[in-house]
Amino acid sequence: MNKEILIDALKGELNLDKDKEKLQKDNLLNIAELKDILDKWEKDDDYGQMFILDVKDDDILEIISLIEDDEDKNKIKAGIFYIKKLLEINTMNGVTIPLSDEQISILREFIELIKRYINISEYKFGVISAKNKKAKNKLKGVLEKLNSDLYLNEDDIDSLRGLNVSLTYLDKIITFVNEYNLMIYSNNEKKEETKVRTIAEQTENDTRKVTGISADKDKIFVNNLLIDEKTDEVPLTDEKLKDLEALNDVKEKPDITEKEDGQEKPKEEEKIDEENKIVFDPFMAQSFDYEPKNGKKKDDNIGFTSNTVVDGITLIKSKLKEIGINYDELSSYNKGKILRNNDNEDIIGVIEYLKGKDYLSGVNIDTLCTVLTENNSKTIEAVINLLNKYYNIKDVLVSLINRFPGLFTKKGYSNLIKVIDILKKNESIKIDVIIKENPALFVIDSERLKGLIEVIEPFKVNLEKILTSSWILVADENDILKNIGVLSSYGIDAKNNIDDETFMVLINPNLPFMIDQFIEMGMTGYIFGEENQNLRKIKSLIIKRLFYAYKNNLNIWKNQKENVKYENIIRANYIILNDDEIKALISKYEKLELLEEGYRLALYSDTDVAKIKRRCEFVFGNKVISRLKVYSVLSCLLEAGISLNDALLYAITYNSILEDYEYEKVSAFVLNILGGE
Amino acid sequence: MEFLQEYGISKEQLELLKSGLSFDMQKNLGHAKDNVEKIITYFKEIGIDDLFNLILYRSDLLLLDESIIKEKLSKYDRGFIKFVINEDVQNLIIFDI
Repeated sequence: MNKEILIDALKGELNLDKDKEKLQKDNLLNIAELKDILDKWEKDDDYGQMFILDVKDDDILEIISLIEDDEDKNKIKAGIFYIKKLLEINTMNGVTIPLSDEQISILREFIELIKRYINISEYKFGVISAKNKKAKNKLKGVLEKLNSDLYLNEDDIDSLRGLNVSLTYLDKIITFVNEYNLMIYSNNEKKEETKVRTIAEQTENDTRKVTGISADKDKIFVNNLLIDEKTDEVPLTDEKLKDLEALNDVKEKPDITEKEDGQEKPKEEEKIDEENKIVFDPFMAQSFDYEPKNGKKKDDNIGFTSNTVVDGITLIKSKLKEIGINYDELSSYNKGKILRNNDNEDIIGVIEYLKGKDYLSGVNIDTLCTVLTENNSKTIEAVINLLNKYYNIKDVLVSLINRFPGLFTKKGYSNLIKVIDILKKNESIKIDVIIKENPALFVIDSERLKGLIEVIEPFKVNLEKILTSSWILVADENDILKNIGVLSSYGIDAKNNIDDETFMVLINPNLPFMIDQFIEMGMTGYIFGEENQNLRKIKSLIIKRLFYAYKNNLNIWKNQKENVKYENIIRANYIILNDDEIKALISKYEKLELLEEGYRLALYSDTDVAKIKRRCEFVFGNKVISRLKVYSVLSCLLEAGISLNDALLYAITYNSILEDYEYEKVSAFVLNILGGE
Repeated sequence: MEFLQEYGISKEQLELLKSGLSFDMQKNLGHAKDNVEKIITYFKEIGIDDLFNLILYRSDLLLLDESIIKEKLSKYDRGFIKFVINEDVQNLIIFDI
């Protein structure tokens, strides 16, 4: 290894950097394309859909990978690929299947992700360029020092360690640099000795020359040229100063690159580079979203971007401290929330708003982070003001924030306004009662609430009372409608008989099985005895049944002889058949006529109960079996391709509480019906 | 909702919850993590083993104030409540819970 070889290696490295820069510029061009696509997309949705069709799956995954939360990531991923498939089908078949609201919302989220991707890419490019440029400048500085036979300091050696060479070769370089520095040092020492000696000799001569000059002139001369007798300092020319600087290099470490740039480097940039944390510090790495409000354009002079990010983050950290939050002590989940936030000014605004609020201490840290990051000061204030308009929420505010931080977000506020509008349309509903009793209603989707109210309104119930029950949040409109149909099949007029106390009966999807069981327990007369009391009696029986099962350690509503395959078919397809459907089934399977003729209650009377019993019951010996259940289960199984022989016994005994001897008896009856097959 | 795994919800169950619960409810549960954890802890304390069905069918309970859910359930014998929930959590609705 010699100086020339090292110089060649440095030149090679500097050329390599040019290739890297080109590659990065190419990436930036792709970003420019993405920006162009976004522009066009925002003006024309069709263009966006074409883009989704054309974009490579890997590129979609790359963009989606920005989402940290796995749950959100999987949702968007599934959504985008589904949309892509849908668009492909549209294109192939020349049809237009419109995208649903949810799919459009997913596309919007994807657009936001692309924006973030652009921000991050530009920022990364900026940081990498800055680092490359600095490294390149340092190498240039080393090259210059080598050419000028100047001492290489520790920074220079660090720069050489970054060379793209093998470890063995690097070791040779470092060994050479040590020898080189030693050589430069001893050369400089010799040079300095020579120079000092020359100056001394020259001074001696000069002193001799000025003898006899006036005292004033003498003084001036001494001040400018002579060795000061008091300090023994050597007066220095520029040239001498330069040489001596080389000797003092180790102490002062001048950076040639800084001189070359002709400008001072921002301190923050130096800090970032020195600590090399821009990539590895999770706080820094995810701060790409931070967009400076002054909208400075990113260019090769990268320092400003890093500075602004660091400043923004530092500010948030200090602001968080003002409301008693130590960022460093936050969980990674909460740190992620803060880092993913797109607008630091919003966070700061919320902090300023919350500062000094007496309820702040009661708010959980997780929920507080949600409020901070999905919000702005105007939103939180607007939500509180809006709720306060109807109810003094002071006492419940902490509980509301802790349970429904989503309510205080931008999306939550928008939904809240819609929910209140929907509720206000019904005069019987007092918003203050909902806030007090069931505030969760404000965080369910306004459209869903609207649908639920439309289903409930026709009943003679107090809507406000129903809406203050928490279970209304999990009520399924389809279950309600289905149960109304079930009750109707059993001859119960739910619309006219249901009231505030019995409405919850309609929520349970197991209602048909419950009624069947009550019929089989011989409770038909009890349920149908008083027309207006049907539902109250069903509710009462459900509660009694639960207590009975608890006290006697029994299963409830479950089939004792469960066949998993059959069970899944029934659960997925169970619909109570009406009279016409039962007739159609019987006419299709003649053997069922034997069941109808032989096992229906032979009770002919004009009473309602008698009619219901004949409609709803089979009797096998002394065991009552729900007729509607049998046909409904049977229909499911037959539709699924199960043979009548296999299906009938299962349908008859489905969910029935039978002693072994009763099961055997029913089996014998079934065998008889099937003709001993 | 990944935090539910800390309470014994398996990955498979978590996927089922994600497909079974509305997106809004998933978001709400995620937002109210602290409250959800408190309520789940309470249910575990009273001996509820089947947290999966509790979350799937009665996610609304997880958004209640802890004091309210305690007050509602305290009206009944703890063993009975445990039996009812473990059999089928939807049975609680009949008690207006």
